[in-house]
Amino acid sequence: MRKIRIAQIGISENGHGRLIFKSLTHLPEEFEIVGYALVEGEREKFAKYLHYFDGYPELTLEEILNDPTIEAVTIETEEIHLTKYALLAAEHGKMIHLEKPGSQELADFERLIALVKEKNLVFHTGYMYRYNPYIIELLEKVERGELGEIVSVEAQMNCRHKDDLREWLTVFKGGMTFYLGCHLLDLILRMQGMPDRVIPLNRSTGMNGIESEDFGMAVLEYPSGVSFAKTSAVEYGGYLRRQLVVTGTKGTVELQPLEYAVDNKIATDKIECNAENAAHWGDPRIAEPCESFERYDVMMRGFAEIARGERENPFTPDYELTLYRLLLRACGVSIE
Amino acid sequence: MRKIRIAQIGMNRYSHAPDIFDTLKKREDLFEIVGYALVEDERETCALKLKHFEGYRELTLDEILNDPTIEAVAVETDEIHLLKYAQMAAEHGKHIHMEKPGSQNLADFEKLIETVRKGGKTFHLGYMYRYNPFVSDVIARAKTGDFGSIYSVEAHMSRLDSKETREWFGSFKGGMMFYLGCHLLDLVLQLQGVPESILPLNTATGIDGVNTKDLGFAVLQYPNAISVVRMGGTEVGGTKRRQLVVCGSERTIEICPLEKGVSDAAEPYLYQAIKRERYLDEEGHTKNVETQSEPFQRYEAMLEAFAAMVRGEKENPYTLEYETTLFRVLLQACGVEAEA
Repeated sequence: MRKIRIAQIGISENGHGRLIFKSLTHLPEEFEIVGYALVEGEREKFAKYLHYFDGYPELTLEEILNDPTIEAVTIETEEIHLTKYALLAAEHGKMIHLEKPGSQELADFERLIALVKEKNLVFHTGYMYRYNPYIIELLEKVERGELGEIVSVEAQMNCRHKDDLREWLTVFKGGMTFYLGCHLLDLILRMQGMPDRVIPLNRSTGMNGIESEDFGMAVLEYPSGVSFAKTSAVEYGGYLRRQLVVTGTKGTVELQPLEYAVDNKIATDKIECNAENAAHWGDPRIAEPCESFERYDVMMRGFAEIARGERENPFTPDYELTLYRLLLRACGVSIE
Repeated sequence: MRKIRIAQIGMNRYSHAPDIFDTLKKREDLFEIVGYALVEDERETCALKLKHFEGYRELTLDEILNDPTIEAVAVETDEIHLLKYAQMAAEHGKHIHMEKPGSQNLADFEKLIETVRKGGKTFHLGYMYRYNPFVSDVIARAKTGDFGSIYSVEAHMSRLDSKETREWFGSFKGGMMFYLGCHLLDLVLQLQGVPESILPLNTATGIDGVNTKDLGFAVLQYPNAISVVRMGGTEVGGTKRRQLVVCGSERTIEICPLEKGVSDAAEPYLYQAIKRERYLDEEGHTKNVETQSEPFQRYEAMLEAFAAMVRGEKENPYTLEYETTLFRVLLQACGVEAEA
């Protein structure tokens, strides 16, 4: 099996960059890590995280971009710089794994997508539920029509963040919806398609005097249903209440918690209701856990397979652009 | 203890009338049931439910209204007729327990409230979570500030309805929102007060060609908070997923299911609720405490309280002003334009 020669550009405080690099190191059969580059003052800002790169050569950005033997990059800067470096990578013909969702300028993202399409590059984004086995199974069920017509999707991704992260959310219009809501909108879009109307209802809770939009809420209206994506940064126990509930005419599937830790890995619980088991109020709600998995290892293995041409990327550049546009609308950004 | 002489006016197709009458029968220690009256076309529309009245006298409406020894009535007609009969009862000086939420006319509701106010009698509504022990506890704790600042309430009350029931939702503007959403709006209002604005997003799923608003959804907007109420009439397993989630700056409490039927219960309407409470302990660790309530009977505590109010032993915590405010909020959530 051919190894992908890869380098990482950037690291961040609140994104997945550290864990992505760690996963690259977990997968020596998939990747040959050439090195990493720090950009945008990351050496100073994220000094405490640089040990993740120990043992690997530090390169300049130009060295990575101009080395034709480096065929792929992971772009893991802070969100506001993501599209800028992804564009540079695309211009240099690299295959790209990009931390989600990109920066917040639509024109830049559109340029990136156009370039990726023009050069026929692999473009893979780090939406973190795309490789969750229960979510994959659920989406396949939806596609096969096993839940009937989908009436609504409720998606929640809450947590109790520290004040400095909540302050950092002011960087984005839409705050939590941009930061975490993107993961949820990805799921809703795939199950229900483009809504008739997107209603951004993001709020600042104002707790501890912080004015960022630390409570994300977007409602998506469809002709025959209403769905929502909720992302709170101030919820005690929010992590365990992260959930995806899909109600269809033939059944309801509830994934909750969406993720919880098991032996340094992650698992998901599922409750399924259908006509056969929904009858009595007194019946217990039995949750069925999936086999535990490592979130980023499966994601990066997927990227490697796509990069080698062994599988098709199910997320086309056009889909990514549609999702990005939907996200901006949910954040209250005008895209006209 | 003095028993309350009571009669029931009406029987409804899709609401709690049989349950209320059964509970009156069960609580003979509190109530002396004088009889019942059927109104509108209930003898035909509710024929299958009339067995609940067996052994009790059928009276005319006028007999109930004009008998001064009948001090209280349970008004349990179909929703669209509730205010009409409650108004008659109020004008005849009866204490009233009324099926929720009333008909859909604000002026009629306000007139009823004014009549009740002048008469000084008890006006008690059958919102079914008001006597749920965990819900009562959450509301009491919200009032004492136990949650800190509440920034979100999510309330769900879904189920899988028959086509016939979903067609009947067409009787109301807002459909499911009027029928079941009222229970949830009652909770949000008690927890957070009147919102700055209400966004009604009630939808017809169109399943089986039924075009009523069978998916109720409303967003209540507060200066620093967003709350949602949702009730689907087409949700497989929806009753098991009924829930109330209250998120505050100090803790989160999730009651789910709001009611779970007690297995092999010796009596009907016996439920338990499950609560998960999450907060930071003194060492800064998130605590997650799950508890199950003792079994409770949904209607018994409700009618016990009504009897105590009629006897003057207990003040009704739901004032006439509160009920009017709730009714207005409900109409807004249903998409009915109500004058401010």
